[in-house]
Amino acid sequence: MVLPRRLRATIDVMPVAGLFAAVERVAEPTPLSEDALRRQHDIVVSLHEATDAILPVRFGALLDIDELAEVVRLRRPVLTQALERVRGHEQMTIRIFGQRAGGKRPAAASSGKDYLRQRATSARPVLSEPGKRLVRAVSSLAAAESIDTGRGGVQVTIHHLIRRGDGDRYRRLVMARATTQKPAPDHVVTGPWPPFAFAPDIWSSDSERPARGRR
Amino acid sequence: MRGFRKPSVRHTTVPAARPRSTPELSLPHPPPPPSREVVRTTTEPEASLLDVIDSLLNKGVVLNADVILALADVDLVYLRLSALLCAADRVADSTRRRRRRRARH
Repeated sequence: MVLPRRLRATIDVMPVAGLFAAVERVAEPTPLSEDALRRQHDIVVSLHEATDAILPVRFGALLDIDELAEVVRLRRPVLTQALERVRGHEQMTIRIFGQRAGGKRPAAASSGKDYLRQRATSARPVLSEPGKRLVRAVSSLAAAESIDTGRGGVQVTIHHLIRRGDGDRYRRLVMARATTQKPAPDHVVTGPWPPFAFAPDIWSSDSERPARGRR
Repeated sequence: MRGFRKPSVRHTTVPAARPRSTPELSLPHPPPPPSREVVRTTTEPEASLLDVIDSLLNKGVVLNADVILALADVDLVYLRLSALLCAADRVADSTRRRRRRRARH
């Protein structure tokens, strides 16, 4: 991978346990701010353009090199599989606005287990019929799909993994389908992005997590 | 960090039943949106900031065991990270001040 020139002063690409990690060496944690988020987003977007397979890391990850090597070594099969999945792909996102689609208000829970089950059900993302039609419109392009419950006026967020270069075609398909619906669902399409929503949960198995080291 | 605000103006890819007046509609020839932007650009900071927040605070590979506990809610992640990082800075700062006071005596 050839790093963009503007990143070479701050980003190192280093071999780690058979893979490569793009790291920034810092003396202390980066305070959370809009500028910090935008900066990291820009860096990940630039790296995505420079390589055909990248797994973005969540904001706030701060590890020793040894810790990083241990995590990558332990979770290499999951990471390798995820890299193959996103290779040559990028992410498009549809946000549908409005009230959350859903069923009737559940009856009062009879037990703690019942209550938790109801909460889990209510937290699941629910696609309205217009949303389902939009999703069907792009199903021929979607190699993978991830749907999240929205917040703050967003009813639901849909991420699709598509082949690089298919972004414009994706938008045209969404637009064509939306124009046939009355009323048209209030939505916005963004992308293409690096595959943030398709990074794996590397801790989902029973593998032992590395001991937390001192920075 | 600016708090997340619900977008005040949203564009759809088709005219809504009740068209909203926006600054962009008054332009005779609005420029085409950049390829990475939304299909019809709303007030860009809201759409871009939402993508940034969603992508970096709610998605991506989780490497630190520290942040796993804060995954229940995006707002909680924000608060927890902010509190964690802020507290780390303050601890380091107060430790340095204590050392300086001890050195003077």
